[in-house]
Amino acid sequence: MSTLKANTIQNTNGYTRYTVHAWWNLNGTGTISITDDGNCSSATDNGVGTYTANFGNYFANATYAITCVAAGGDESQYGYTDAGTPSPYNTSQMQIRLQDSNSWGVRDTSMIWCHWVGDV
Amino acid sequence: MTKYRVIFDDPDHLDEPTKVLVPSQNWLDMAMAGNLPPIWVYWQLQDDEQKAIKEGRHKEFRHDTEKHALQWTAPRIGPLTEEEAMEYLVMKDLPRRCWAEEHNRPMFKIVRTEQVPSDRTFRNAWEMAA
Repeated sequence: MSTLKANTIQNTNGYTRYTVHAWWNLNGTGTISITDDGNCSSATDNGVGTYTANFGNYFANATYAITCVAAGGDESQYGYTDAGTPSPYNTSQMQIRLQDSNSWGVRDTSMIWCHWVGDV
Repeated sequence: MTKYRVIFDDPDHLDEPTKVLVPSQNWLDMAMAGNLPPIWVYWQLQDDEQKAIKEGRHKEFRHDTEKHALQWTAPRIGPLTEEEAMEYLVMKDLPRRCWAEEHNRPMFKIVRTEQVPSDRTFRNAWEMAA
């Protein structure tokens, strides 16, 4: 097995290719657990439906992007990110909150998939 | 799978429910294999970012390139036991005010997973026991 090391990956036309800096598959029910992840050192259960991703290595800046979806055997759920004050949103961590699309109440769910893309 | 969790209260938000931190098994494996930089590498980055936030320039903030690169280039600290890795994680991922400042009670505890309730019916009422 070999390891490819590079600061920037470009195609032959010079366009930079971005890779996912961190991702997780989180079970947010019971005593929460990380099913699998890449570059997340931990997850914090802050209360009902509110979780913080702590990144293993930090982003270069906090203007990264996130995609997050959630499911749990109930099609009425979806995930969205809450980056409002005072929710942490910085190079080392980000808080997300899951809301029920019917009641708009915050809720736990068993499958939460997120990935973060940005400058490293 | 790890047998540990960290429960903690944020001294700046004591009205919030007790939080539970679960380590990533992938990260723990890396820590136990000796692939982490010294903890000060992360503290340095946290300090720089907090300074930018306080000065109202977080939107334009970007880590110093050399300090940021130390996450990958600083000499590794060597293999940690699982317990040592948990202590490292506390110092990396918990707010510093939880563990570096004195309070009239402990603000965090490293506990076994089975000590954390799995019934979340009253999750927002969880408090850390004395």
